[in-house]
Amino acid sequence: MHYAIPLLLLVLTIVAFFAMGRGHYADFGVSQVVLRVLVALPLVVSGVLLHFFRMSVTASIIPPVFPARPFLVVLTGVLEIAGAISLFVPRLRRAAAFWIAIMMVAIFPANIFAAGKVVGGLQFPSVPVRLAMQIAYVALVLLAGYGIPRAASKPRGD
Amino acid sequence: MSDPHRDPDQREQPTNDSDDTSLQGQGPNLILIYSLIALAMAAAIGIALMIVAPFHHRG
Repeated sequence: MHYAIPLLLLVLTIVAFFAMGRGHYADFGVSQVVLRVLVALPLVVSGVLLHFFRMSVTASIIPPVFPARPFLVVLTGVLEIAGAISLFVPRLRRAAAFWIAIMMVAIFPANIFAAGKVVGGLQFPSVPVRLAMQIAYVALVLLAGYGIPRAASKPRGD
Repeated sequence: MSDPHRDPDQREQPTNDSDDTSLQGQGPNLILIYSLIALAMAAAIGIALMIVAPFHHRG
């Protein structure tokens, strides 16, 4: 049950973003590129350094119910790096943002499992703190990929 | 047969495959990695607030 609520809140974050935009998003130029760089950075750092160079630590935070944990570490590492790169490919930008957001939900059980534990000498944050960070990150990724959600703009009555 | 060197009060710790000491020093420093991630996140939040704030005030 304590896995369900955080995952639901993350899904609701994604739903809320698309409900706000309803298919209408405004690009915001250079700032959006800067934001894409900033949201891609954690993916690259995590994908390369955590998933490949600290594979055993990363595998240890995956709940034991998941099979083939080392494989999942490599798979998610490759997906994180691919997602980060795709954010800079115009044709893939939005799809990348969407699938990164979905992946952030899919990998969150590992963060819940590790919450409050000391792994590799590092104290992992509690579920509420980690959830707030994840919600912020998901929102930032969607903002960087899609732009600012702008549902049907109001007609200007002059 | 019990182990005479074992503290009777010592309980079996859940392993979770995360032996802290054995996992240290086998690659890049975790604190450094997470600091980089946190820094990028903080900067991204700052940028996002700067972008969204004018839209918010516009009404």
